[in-house]
Amino acid sequence: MHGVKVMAGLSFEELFREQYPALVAVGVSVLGSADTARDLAQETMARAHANWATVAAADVPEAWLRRVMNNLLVDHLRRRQVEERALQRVANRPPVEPMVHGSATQMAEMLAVLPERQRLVVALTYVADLSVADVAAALGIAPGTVKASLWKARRTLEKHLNEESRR
Amino acid sequence: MNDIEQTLRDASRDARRVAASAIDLDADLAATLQRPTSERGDGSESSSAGHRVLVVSAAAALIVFLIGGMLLIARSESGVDPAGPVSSSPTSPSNVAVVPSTAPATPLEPLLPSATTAPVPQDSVPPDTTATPDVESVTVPVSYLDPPPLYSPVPFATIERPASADEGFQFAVGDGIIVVTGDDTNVHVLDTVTGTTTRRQLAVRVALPVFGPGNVLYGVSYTPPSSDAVSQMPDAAIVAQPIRDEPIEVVDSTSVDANTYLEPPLGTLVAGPDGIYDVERARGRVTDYVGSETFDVPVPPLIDREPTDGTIVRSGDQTAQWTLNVDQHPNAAVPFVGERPAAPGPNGTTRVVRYIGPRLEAEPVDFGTPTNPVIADLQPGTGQWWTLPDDWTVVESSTRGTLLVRDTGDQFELAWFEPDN
Repeated sequence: MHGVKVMAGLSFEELFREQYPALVAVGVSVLGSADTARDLAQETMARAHANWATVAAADVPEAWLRRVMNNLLVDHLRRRQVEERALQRVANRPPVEPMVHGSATQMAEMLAVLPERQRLVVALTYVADLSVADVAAALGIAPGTVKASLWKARRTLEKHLNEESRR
Repeated sequence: MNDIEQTLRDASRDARRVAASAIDLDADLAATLQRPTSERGDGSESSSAGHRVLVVSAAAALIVFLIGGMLLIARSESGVDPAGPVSSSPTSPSNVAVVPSTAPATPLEPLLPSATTAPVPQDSVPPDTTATPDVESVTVPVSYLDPPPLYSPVPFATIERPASADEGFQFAVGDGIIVVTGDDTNVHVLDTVTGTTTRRQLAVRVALPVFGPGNVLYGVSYTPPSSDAVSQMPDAAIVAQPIRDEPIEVVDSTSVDANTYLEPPLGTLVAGPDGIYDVERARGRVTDYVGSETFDVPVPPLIDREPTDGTIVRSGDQTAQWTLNVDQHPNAAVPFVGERPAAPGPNGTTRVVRYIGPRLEAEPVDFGTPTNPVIADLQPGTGQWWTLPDDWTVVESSTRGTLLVRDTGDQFELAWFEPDN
């Protein structure tokens, strides 16, 4: 299911059934909301459908999907930050929708302490089970940068978890 | 597999389980196929919680906009990359319809890391040392009489000490790797992801090693004079050696004046936005990068130092300035190769290393062994000195991090200087 390679000549429906669950899983792990993750994954697949000639002709259709999904996730994270900070400034109150606590998954709560790129790198590596090369392709960065991001993310998470366990 | 690895794998299984339970493939496929004809934004309006946020935030955004602060707040505090957001307008109303097009509506440019600022092109001419009115200037003092707080390094790895390190060693931090050089072409390469060390051989030995983009190692190489011209100085060049290649070869070479690079302090060469800079001697760009198409790593601004006063540091983009009032012990050691230049650090920081304690030797000596290392962590408008333990040395600093090393005799212990963590 995860990190699965798309066979040439797949129909849109077949691509959807192969890739949609993995897109949702990555979205859940980054955002913590299954509803929003489904929505962004559907948006990704809808764009693939609208551009089916391009996507179907691609050597790696799933890479196209991952990049669109990743960009939608980043869009969402940044907009959520803007909205929450605007709310806080105007109303001088805490965020309406906490970004970390109460997330639908343990992964989302863990990743909330990371910068956005590290979140995506970790989610694609562990949840989507992609190789370093595939993560690099999905994010448009060098494999070395993926490795460095993974290393930094693990260190940050380890430190954070250790602090949490001491409390 | 360590604890964090297992924790991540367990959490991943949990995320996949949650996702699987939320999915109805047939229904979601049908909903997807209906989307091109329906209005939609980023999708957050489909959830009730997201819808609530949108409604409230739209009102909030309107109020903020009316008081003229919306844009400033969003840009200054959201962490949105000013050089190019992923979406065309992350601060635009969320309920804008997205119309399917022949290309993804979301640009596919590579993401810049959130904490990375866009590279600022540098002039190779030494900058004007006259402070301009918009320069943010701050004084950051340190005194041996009142040493700053102690920073306790936390080792993250060890690396075997090259046999030739007794004659001197230098470190360079690349993307996912750390290289330690000795006094010959043999180097040890630490993979910072796996923690494994490999031995490699450079094509030529280099001094002042520094990584540019694509893990290409740059450094000064000296060619001894021919035997019939022993009085001549050796030729020198800044050479480029991609570490990823096997065998490692010199792929580019730029001749430099050998006199310039006699006994230079560590940190003289720095990776800049468009090439390698000499921030100490030549005070400008000394070579271009090879393979500019691999220019895919964050690069630091050039840190400049007043040529007439080593205590004034300017950021590479000339927008910030720090006056470092360093009060050293009267018997402080005098560095043989001069004070180290300021260096870039991660997340837009600037780092400066000094020694403020008395020299180790009791008797008068020409130079002496310095003690009580301190490091300044400088950010625009502010700065903080930290004391480092005497057995730790700052061996390299770049946008990738400030690396501390402790020499235990048979290996090097490595730690990052991360005062914010």
